[in-house]
Amino acid sequence: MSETTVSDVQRRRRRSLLWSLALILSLSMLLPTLGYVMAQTGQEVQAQAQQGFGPERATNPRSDMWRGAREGQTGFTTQTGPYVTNTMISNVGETWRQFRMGPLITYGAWLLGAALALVVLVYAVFGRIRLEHGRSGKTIERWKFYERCVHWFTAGSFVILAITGLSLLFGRSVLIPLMGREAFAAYAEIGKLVHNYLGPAFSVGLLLLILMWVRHNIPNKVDLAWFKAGGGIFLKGRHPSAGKLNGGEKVWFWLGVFVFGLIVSISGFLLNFPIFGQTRETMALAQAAHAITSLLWIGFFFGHAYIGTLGTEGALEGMTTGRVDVNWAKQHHDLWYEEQIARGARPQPAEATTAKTGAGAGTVGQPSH
Amino acid sequence: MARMKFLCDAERCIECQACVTACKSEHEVPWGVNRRRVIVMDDGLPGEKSVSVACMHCSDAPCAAVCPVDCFYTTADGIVLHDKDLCIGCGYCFYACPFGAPQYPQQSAFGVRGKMDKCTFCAGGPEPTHSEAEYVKYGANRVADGKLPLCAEMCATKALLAGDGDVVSDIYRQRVMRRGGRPQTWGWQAAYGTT
Amino acid sequence: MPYKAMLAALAVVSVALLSACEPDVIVHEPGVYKGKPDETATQEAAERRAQPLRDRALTGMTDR
Repeated sequence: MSETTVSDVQRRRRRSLLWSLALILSLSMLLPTLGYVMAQTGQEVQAQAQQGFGPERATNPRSDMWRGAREGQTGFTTQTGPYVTNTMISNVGETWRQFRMGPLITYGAWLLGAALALVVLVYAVFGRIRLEHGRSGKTIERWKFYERCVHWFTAGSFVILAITGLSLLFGRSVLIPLMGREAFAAYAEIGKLVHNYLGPAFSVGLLLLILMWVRHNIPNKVDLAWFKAGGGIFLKGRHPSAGKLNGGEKVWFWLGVFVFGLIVSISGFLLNFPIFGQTRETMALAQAAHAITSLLWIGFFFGHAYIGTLGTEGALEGMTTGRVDVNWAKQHHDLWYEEQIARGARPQPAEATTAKTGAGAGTVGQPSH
Repeated sequence: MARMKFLCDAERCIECQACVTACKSEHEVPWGVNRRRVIVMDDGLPGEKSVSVACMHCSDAPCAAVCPVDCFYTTADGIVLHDKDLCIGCGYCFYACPFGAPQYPQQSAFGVRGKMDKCTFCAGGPEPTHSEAEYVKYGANRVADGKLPLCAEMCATKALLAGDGDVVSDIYRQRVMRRGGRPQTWGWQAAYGTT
Repeated sequence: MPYKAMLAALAVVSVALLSACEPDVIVHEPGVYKGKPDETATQEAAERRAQPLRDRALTGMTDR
């Protein structure tokens, strides 16, 4: 009996302790916000008072003018010229400067470093994806000549644009200490010209890529299964089916070429041709979008370039010679291969150079290396 | 050490554009480039004010911070100058500057920017003082002769002040102390005080 | 709930990103510039012209 009362008392005490603690906590958070309430009502009272008092009690017009100027209000100016603005104080500049010199440069460098490290890590852990059944010695056409031309033009200009763009962003912290100001300025001058002239051509290349390959890139259920199977990289021994382009390639197409390409092209256009009356706000925003997207894209590109060259045996020749080994096609793009055969495509013997490395059509099941 | 500053007395500026004209004429600034401009706030309304704006020679200059080729430098007395031989005309200083001071001559089609040009506080640039190269690239070097920027020196109402920040603020403070009238008023009393 | 979690994650990420902003005001030190020499930029030149410019401001900018 007494034990229960003691526990009751204890429980009550504990409960009151808990409640008072909660009360203290909530009050300590709520009470400071009273200031907002006071300020809010105070403002309203002041506004009412001003209405009542008339112009003599209005705000100081001198202060109003300077306040407006500080907030970026525009005025009137008789001067003309492409770079004359009627804004006395533009506030976007300092924000943009903080963004560019702080997060953009710091985390941009981290992002690129992380992307490179990821590629190295994937190579170190999973290694190169070999042709499981060696080379068959027979090849099938994968990319037509004009497709390869557009791909390599776009890829080449992407690399040049990336190098010149990154030089402008990181040059002051990386290249100036190495080259000195004069040499870097000369390089940056050429780099800027190349970037500005190649940019529009690159956009045209992107447009051609999209027009050429959009029909191969319609997502379907096969891609879902491909992703579940880890794309055949991360889970050994699983061979997800794929059509002409697999899920990963479709992501590169839609996110990389299409979305990133669109953002980079539009923002680049705004920056490249300052003749449409763009304001500084527009151009600073465009620069931010251009830089963020380009950095993400370059990071993504490391992955694309790795998988297409070092990461997958037999992949690069599809884009250089236009023909891939039949065993490669069966391993990576089985549905596409079957479709091609059903359409009446005949695999042809590989040229002497590629046939030498292959062990012939009969050695199914034996790794060639 | 003295820090060179501009100050425009908005009560006195009468938007005569003489500072703009003087600057253009003194430095032979190319067409389309405006190192100085007059901005009228609340044009045509009561309380209208005009302010002459150029490079404000910031202590923590945003243009110098964002320049990819690092072409800006500051003189010992706080004048922000730049090297046109290094400038690549990327336009970043124009995005970053709150006052719209950096200007670019357009050399070719599609708005390709030339080398940036801005107010030098009449202090020339990184070329031998009073040389032909300095005049062509940066304009006259008046400061080396012990003269202040022409825009301020020839301002008829002495609205635009230039020089050692301490002196300029002293002059302005004395003016403000003499001034009468309510904040709404403008005119002789507000600009020149009761003399 | 995932929406809220996403918002929270977004807030954390943006705060982390903003932490890279320069906290201090940089006063560009005269003489740090290593480009072409400019004799008007040196300490001596500034000291030499400081007094004449001060006198000129006092004679030219004040009301007569």
